[in-house]
Amino acid sequence: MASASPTRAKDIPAKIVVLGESAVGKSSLALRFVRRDFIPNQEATIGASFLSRSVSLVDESPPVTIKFEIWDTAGQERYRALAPMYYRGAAGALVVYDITSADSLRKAESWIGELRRNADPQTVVVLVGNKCDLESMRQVSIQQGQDLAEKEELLFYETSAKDGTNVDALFTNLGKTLLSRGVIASGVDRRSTMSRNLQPPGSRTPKSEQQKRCDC
Amino acid sequence: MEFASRSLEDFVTITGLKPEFAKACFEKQQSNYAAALASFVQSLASIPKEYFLDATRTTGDNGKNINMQLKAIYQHARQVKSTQQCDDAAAWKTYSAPLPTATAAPAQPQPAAASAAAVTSSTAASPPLSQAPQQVVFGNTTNSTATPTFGFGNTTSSSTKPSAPTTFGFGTSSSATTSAPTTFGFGNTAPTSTAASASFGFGNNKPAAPAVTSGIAEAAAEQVKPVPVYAEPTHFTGPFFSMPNFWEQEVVERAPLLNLDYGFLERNRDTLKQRLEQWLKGAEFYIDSPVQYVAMPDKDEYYARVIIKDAERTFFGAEHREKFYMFIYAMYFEFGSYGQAMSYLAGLCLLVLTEQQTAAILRRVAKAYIPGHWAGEAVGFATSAWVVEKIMRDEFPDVAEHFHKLNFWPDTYLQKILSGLCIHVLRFEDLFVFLDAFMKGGFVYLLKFCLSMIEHFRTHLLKVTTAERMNELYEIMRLDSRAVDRADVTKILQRAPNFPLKVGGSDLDILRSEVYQDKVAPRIARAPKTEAFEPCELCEKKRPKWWSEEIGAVCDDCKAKNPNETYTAY
Repeated sequence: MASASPTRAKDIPAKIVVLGESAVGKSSLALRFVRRDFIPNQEATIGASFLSRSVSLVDESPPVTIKFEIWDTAGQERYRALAPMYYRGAAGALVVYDITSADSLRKAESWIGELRRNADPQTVVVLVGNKCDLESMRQVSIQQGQDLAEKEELLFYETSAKDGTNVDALFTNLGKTLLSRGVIASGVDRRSTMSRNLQPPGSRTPKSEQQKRCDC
Repeated sequence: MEFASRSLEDFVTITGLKPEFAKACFEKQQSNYAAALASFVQSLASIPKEYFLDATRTTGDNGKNINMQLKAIYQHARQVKSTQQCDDAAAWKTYSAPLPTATAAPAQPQPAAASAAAVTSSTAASPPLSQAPQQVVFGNTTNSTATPTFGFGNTTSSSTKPSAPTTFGFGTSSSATTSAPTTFGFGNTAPTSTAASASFGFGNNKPAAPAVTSGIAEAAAEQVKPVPVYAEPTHFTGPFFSMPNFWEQEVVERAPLLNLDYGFLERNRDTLKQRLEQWLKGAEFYIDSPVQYVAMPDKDEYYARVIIKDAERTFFGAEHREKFYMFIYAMYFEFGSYGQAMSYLAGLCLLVLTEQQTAAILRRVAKAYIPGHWAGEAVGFATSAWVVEKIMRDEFPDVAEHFHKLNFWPDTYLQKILSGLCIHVLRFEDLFVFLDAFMKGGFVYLLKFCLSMIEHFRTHLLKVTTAERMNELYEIMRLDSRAVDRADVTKILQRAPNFPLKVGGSDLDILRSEVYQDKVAPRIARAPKTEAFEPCELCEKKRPKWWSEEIGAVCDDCKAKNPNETYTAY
């Protein structure tokens, strides 16, 4: 067996789920962030993939390191009984659309709605317009993305998994937002996000637990 | 639109139900076409396929017509209620009065179809009319507010409206509460979460299928499925290897499908066809049925787009992609569902086999080996994954308990094996050994393979004791090359055919039934359903929040643009 890299104890785990229409670049976005790599024509994701990367936020006081535990889900699969296991309890959710597909933005809206209804209320949602390197094929304007993000009170980025535009910035800002909103915190004895979130089928985060964390 | 004069024959035409079932539904609603249609729609997702004249067809244009008709039905029912100042039940009773003209097209002759999703049936009752027109959708719906939603499928209402009317429908009651049933239909309401997924609708309390394939319902939930327009293929239907540019363009350049080839195809170029023809043994039963190709006039239709996108992620050449997606599109209509893993196996088969031969293999795999795995809502897969877990409890109880403590659930890590068949996981040299064995052994081989993996990695798996390291479990159980060496794979492949599986045959069927009931069905019952609403009458996009007698239901923005109207909260 190949050896696995150890997890540093001081890293703050943050479960992030990546959602969105099929072929909008969810896996590419995750791979760009985690492995700094881009694979053209990445095969369709079956089920979900799990990736992780630690990022140090040195301008935080004190500096902290967030371990992003990223669940990259399959766009086509809509196993509603399973999907909540991926997003429930997530600290953050990236709802990705493809700027060259107006329909993918509509699908993103439905994902946002599903998160609103079923995810933990403190989950920080980021609307991500991917493939911004394909400007000539753009169907969704920046304004349209921004409008939706403003309406739904989401963070918003346009990214390119291909050339890396805004990918690190997205995660860095997401990490800062998670800290500033108290969704994650250094020194807090939190259970692992995976352990907390991959709960027995049908279980939900108790209200008492949700209420412990404020959303301000 | 005049409904009073519509007959049972009209009902058969638009629903696609077999006459005897249509008659039962129709008469249950006192031969009231409008009520019968509404009731049918409510139950669609739960109606067994065998109730339809042609279960392989879809609602298609009929769905649009049904939508339009139901919209008119509800509008008229509300008018009746408003005019007569009566309750819902009385309004429905007087429904035979003429309706205003509407624009729905006449029913098309295509019959409708539905999946055999398991839900409960309900009593005959009147649908509520206190709200403005609601959206009619195909698929499961959840109504999280007091607004009743009616749709093509199972409706779960969490409304707490105390005076909500009883449901009317075509079946027996399963309503467990008195406050919830704001839905109506002939059939199936699930006002409480525990009511769903217990039996079929249509008044029959059949036991739930252990491996329900809900592809059609899932597809319907995405959007109305187009009516298939069958057409002769315009592309080459032979093997890819027979196409002049394929080798150079795809094999040499290493197309995405072939990213784990590592020279296997070159080494086996002359023998691969013979090898894959062995996969046809046992699939002869499926080979005579011709592939029914379907025209794809709208490449933006949901599944057309997904399939095309997958073709683009499979091959480079435009000609190869088109051949591929036209074939997959045909199979999607045949199966009533599509899962991206299906295209993996199809792509490999098509290298050396004809589309007719490939279809036979896909049919055998999709229908006999792993039914319900290749679908957006892959209930069959989830059931299979829990079967693995159940057997693991007998064979490796320490590992099963270890996984349980870590909340490491089988349906989060077995997709690539049980549905993806290790394609894009194993190098081709190993993959074809796996697939050879799978084609002979079917699902039992997949079980043996999974259990051989657990046996092989048992020590490593048990070493992962903290949740922070659970990613290592995922890497191992998905045979990720970063965690698993090729030597591991070789040993597992050698062990799998000989793994002493204690269950098989009917025992396995019973096991599937048990895990479906224990693990899958409850989760489906609790799963969030697609929320449905009819959009604003003006912008036709946003959720309406206001009701105007003049305009209808409108959203905030459109209300602001029409300040002179009188609004009440919607």
